[in-house]
Amino acid sequence: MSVDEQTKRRDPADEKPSRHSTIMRGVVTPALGIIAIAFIVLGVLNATIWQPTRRIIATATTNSQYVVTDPGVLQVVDSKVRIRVAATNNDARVCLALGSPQDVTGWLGDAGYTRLTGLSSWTELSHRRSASNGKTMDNAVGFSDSDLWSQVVCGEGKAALTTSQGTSGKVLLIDADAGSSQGTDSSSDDATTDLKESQATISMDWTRENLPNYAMPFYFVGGLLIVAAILAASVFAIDPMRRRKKLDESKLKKIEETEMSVMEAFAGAMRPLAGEIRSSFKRNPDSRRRHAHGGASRRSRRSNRTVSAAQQSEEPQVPSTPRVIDVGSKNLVAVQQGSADAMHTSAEGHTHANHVTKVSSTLSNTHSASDSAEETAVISPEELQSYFARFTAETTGSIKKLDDDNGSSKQTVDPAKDDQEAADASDVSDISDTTVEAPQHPYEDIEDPAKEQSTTENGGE
Amino acid sequence: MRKHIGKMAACILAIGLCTSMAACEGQVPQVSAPTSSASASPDLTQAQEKRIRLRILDALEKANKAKDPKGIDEYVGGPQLQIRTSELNIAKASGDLDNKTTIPRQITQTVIPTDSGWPRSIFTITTTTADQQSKRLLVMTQDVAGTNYKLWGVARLFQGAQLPKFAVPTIGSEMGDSSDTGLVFTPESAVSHYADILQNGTSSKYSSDFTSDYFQQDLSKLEQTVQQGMEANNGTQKQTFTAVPGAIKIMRSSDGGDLVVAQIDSVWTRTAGEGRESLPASDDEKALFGNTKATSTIKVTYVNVVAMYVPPAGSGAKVSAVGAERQAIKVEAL
Repeated sequence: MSVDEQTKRRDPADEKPSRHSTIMRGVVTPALGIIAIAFIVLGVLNATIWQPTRRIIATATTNSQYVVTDPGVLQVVDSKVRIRVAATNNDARVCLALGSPQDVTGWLGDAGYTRLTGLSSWTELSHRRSASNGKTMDNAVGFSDSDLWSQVVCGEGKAALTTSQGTSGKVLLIDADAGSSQGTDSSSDDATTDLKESQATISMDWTRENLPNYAMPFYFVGGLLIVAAILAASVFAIDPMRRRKKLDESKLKKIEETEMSVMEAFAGAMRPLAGEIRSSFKRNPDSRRRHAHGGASRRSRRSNRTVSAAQQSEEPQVPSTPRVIDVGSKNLVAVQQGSADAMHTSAEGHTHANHVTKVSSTLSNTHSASDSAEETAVISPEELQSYFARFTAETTGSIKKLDDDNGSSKQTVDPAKDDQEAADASDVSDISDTTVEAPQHPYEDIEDPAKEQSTTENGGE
Repeated sequence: MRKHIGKMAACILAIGLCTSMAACEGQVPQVSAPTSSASASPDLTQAQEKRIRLRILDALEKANKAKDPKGIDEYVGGPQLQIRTSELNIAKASGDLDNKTTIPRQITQTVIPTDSGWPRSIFTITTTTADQQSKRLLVMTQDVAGTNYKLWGVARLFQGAQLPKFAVPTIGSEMGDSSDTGLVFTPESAVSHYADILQNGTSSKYSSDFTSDYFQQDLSKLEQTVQQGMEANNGTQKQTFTAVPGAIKIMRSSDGGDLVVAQIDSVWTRTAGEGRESLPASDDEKALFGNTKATSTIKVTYVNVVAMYVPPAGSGAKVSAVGAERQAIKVEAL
């Protein structure tokens, strides 16, 4: 695994959000959220102002003396019902009785009657005339005095009856003119007048105890949409390729560092914001100048938090508090390489710096500018020690060689020029803070720009 | 312009969606077909039974106070009408109403029929009376739908009599028929056989099929006493018992037997010898006989109501009378 890949995985916040992630988080999630809210609002409306009517009143107008409900009509909406009957003739004696269907049939005998068969709508009772053979009834007792009824109510012109519990299986018999001669069939030809007088308006009044719950489906769908929105903003927003790759890696368990804790993810998400705030406080002329580099400004801004080799080479020039370098977390090789580069640049002049600039721009184009020296420190202590030993030996050897040649060292004899060179190196680092990452082998000097470019491009891949 | 049309379409779509998602009353409920259990429900509730019973008892109470049977036919029918009329006439003549006419208003059990047709009968068992008389078995019958229930028969239950078990009133029991089979005897036959036992005593060929009861024993004692008196006067006496056809009410019990309440008429003819007059043998007969001129022969007609349990065939049990009522209704001098 290359250093670039490692760095990428270590700091996902530095990556530009993919198009997939942008669509999922910017379009799908808000859309799902809005629909979810709409469904919940509809659910609340269905549970409140759009709630079904609790009270149902259905009416019918009949033209016969006797009206009978079919079994089950009284309980069609709710077990408890209040029946009101108002006769057209206010002097008529109206009676209502509850009885078993066979008792009512036995009472009516062959007399004609109207059947209430159910609800034709929420406000109307359906009814039908039964066939009659025109025979008269010969009941010995009056309607209200019969033992057949479990409940009976009579009144002048109108009457009302409320069914009690346990009336299932009972039917209602209405006598719209109980005071008249019993058994008069109002449907017979000679009883047309009676038929008109027996006209009655019947209303049944139910109060529903259990209303249909139309709100729950909306709540349910709204909840599902919320869950979908959360998933769209989290799991489904991850690039599918990366998600699969992550899964593979987790299976193989080759790199434990790729696992990112919640805190790390949060820190990564907050890092750009923190960097923005920090940069607003620590902005100096150099950084402003850095921002002037057009297309590289975003990358430069993002990489402010990284410590470039050039900046580190600058820092010793400014007296400050002692710095403690954690060799475990710092890529000292890169730091030293930066110092070496600076020295080398001072030795070779601006020409080399131009090379570096060119390389850095190449690196920027390959999106590796965000890589930091801090995060490429994956070198074992043994390697570090051997490097130090070799570096010391080489440095000592070069100084010795210079002394031997009696030449004046550019790095040591001309402090003014040294400053100038350091400033140049700083400029180099300004152009690209991440050029130090490009040489993956710190032992190699950057001499061939073409070679450098190919190396960084490989790393970028 | 196209943008404007798009906005309009979006608005219409939104309004349409809101309207469609707005709550409605739901589908209009349809009447479900009645279940088969509805047809097997009891004909009456316990409250209805109580209302019917108290209505009848109130009417009887009113007649008892007036000692006048007038108007009781609206509330009383069958053999009980004859019995109660006689009792009230006797009370009117003697001034005292027999204590046995008391019917408690409280009940211990009621058996409500489930039959859809008519006639229908309710069997109700009262508590003991205030003076510790035995419980009464009331049979109330509705002949047709256009009439009300009437007290058809009353039988005073024998002490220690074991009645069969019946379904609770909320379930109801099925009424039996006089020709029910699967029993030791058909109800009609059982009544006829019992009448034969009452007439012939232990010499009846059916006596072994019936358990002995207080009613048989009392009648036998009374007959023996009268026989002794008549023999002393060289007179004769004969009592005949006849089951009245159709005067029978049956309720099927839970164990498959039938509780049968039936009317058995009896005629007791006594002829005095040696030119003597036959006189009434009891206060009731005297009251009924009144000032009629006595002759050598007196004929007393009795109405007997007998309640008996006819067990199912194969049970090994005998037919047992559980209660009875007997009342002289007419006394004639021949």
